[in-house]
Amino acid sequence: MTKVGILRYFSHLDWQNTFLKALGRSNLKVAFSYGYNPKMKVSMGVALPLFSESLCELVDIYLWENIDEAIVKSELEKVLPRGAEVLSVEKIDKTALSIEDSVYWAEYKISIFDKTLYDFEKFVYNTNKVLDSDEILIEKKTKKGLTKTIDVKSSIGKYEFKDESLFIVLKTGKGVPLRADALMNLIAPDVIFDITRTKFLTESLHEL
Amino acid sequence: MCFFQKYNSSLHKCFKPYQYVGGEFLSYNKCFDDAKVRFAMAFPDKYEIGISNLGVRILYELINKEHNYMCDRVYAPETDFIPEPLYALESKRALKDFDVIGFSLQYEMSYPTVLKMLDMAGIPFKNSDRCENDPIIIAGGPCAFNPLPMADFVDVFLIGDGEDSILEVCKIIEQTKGLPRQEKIRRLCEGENSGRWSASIGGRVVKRIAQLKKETAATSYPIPFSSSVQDRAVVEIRRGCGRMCRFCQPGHVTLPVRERDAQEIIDISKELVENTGYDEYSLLSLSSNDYANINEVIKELALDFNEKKVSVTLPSQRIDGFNLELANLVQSVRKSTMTLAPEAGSQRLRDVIKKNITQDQILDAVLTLYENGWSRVKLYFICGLPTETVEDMEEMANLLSSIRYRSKLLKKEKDLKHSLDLTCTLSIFVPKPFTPFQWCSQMSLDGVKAHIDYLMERVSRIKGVKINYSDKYLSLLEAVLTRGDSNLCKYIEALYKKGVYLASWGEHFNKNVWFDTAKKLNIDLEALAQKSYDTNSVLPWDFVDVGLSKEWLQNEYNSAFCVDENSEHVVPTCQTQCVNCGVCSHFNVKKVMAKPYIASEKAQILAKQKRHIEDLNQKDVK
Repeated sequence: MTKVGILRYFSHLDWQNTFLKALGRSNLKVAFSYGYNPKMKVSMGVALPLFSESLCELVDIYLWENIDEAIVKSELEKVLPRGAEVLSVEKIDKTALSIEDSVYWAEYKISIFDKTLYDFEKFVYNTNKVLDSDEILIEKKTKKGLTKTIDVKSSIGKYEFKDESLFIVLKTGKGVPLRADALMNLIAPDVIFDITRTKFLTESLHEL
Repeated sequence: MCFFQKYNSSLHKCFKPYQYVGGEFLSYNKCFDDAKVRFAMAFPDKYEIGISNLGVRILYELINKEHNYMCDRVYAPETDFIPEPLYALESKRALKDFDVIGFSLQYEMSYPTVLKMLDMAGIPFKNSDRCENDPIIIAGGPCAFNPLPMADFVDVFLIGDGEDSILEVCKIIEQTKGLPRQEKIRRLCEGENSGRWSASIGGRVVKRIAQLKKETAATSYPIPFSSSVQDRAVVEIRRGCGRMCRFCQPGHVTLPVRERDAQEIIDISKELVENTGYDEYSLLSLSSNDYANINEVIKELALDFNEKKVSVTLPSQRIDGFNLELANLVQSVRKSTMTLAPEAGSQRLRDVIKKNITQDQILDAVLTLYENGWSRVKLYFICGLPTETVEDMEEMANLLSSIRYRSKLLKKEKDLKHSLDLTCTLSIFVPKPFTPFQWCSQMSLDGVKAHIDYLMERVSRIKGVKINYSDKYLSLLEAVLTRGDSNLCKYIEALYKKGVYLASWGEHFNKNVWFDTAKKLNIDLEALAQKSYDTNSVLPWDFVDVGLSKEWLQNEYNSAFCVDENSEHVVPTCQTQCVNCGVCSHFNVKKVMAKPYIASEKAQILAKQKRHIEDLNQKDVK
């Protein structure tokens, strides 16, 4: 699925909330968890930070019935907000790996929002400067509220500059994930970038 | 420049940017340029509060359903986002370009926020400073019943139910395009029964009464992308409340009682849940379990909703209307907490406020809930009620302690797993216009503090009882503003100029600013809050006619102060028989009660099965 347009202003939790309400409006028979507070069995995949767009969001939905992929797609299209486009629907086995377990890397397209404030050459220079250094240190807040500095060098995959944009593969999900906005904040603090997640990759860097 | 180009960097810097971009599911997004009347519904509080307001939802739908009119929305932005100028969410057009801006006045503390929003929109905040091209500023909602403290800033007030009135406003605005501003205002307030009032015209005003119709019920409304307060499908099942507890303003100003038919409630609920995708619905009214068909309605809806895992919630319950079947029906999909409202701790005080419940009823209700699996029960109380003394607080502590004691016995006897937790919320009494207590003074802050401290000290020794209470300064300011007259306009203006904004939020409420500003203007806040009026004097808000006869209010006031240990604990109310309050005869209207309704056989079987399964589960637990 995509998450573009005004949907970039919604956090992952809001996105989840919106998606579940949309499912509630559809005619799909979604499975519910048991217990005191039944919830739809839906897994929304790897969180996308606020202000980022995505062309490759993954969602697992457990349904009660075995229906055709095309029906699922058309049912979803009827209820989803603008900016959330269903790209494809695939049946997966109940025993298939969860999204969290299959996603290791993601590719991002990063471009400058306002080129009058920050030009592309400066962007290339600063990016190379940061990415070429031996250590790339990022401060992170731990759950206890303390700040911890970690080296994220190993979380950065291949990158290239193309069409006035940076295409970069970063670790996501398991291990030491690196957020694209956190990296950009290191390269050029206070500059606003348009960040789009373009694809998810497996451990062996195959596109999912 | 397009909106997103202009605001992208501000949106990046603010908290919760979703509230400034609009585009919610089920929002109308009508074309601004094509509309004959452009109405902006303004809510002087944060988005997450405003988006779920039922009144705004109803009026927004009604205007937008009209082909030629468009209604857009605007909420008070948080302080980290400064729009230049303030715009409406859907069209992104400046507020200044609209024909009418309608403010929803829900609570007094939001008054300065109204002025700030007008200022952000580039509209003069004073009626007298606005020019011909500025929008007409109107306001409605519960606080509009006493319009005086805001009279300098709002052109026209809508008193009472808005359903009919709002469309009349749009029509008059359409017809008076091009006419001078004052002429528009005059036309809006024209007629004895318009229900609209302007300080520039003055005179008396009679509240409007709308009937609950299927066509005017909100069956779809903008769904926030994020969660908000009251994030559920809300169905109004009745308006008005026949209990008329003596402190309660909504119970007195929304008469007569009008109930919706059961089948209509069922249809609306289904339609609403289907439209919105919510997994929870709420049957709303001032006192939901006074609606005789409520159990049957929930049973019938359960047929459809249990399978879809759509659960029901109810607002706080009246203790005398409480029944276990209802409590069990409510928890058939998801378990929710139960809230009961005894309001006062001692029998004497409950008689003073005409709560019409006895201590035994309270004990029964709480213990029945406990025995049936609710180990946490919420209770609402009011502190600082007229004639309250420390003895009443002592009795409240005794009540809580005896509930706990009885629950312990029950735990042993029935071998229950959890012990009972009671969470009590104390609010501080505020005398409100149009209630029998409108003449009463508010207890001094020191007095209330002493009472609360006494109770806290007593309760600290009772295990499992937690007490939360509201800010006493807020209650004092509320008392001043709600009974205020037009002398307070300068106070509101001064507060706004001092930067008071979103003051009902703890982080934005600075008590010193409110008190210092009053001092500078020679306004004695304590004296105003504690002022008691003679029952024969003319009150500032007497020009607003809500239908209650003065004589009846005076009688109620006198009976409250005549209560002693021999008084009846339960007296007749409008719920059971006519009490001659005057509303029906004055307006020539009638109480509308729903026809008795029995759920279908299938629904009855399902409810029985459900109960049986629960009984089995409970035995399992033991």
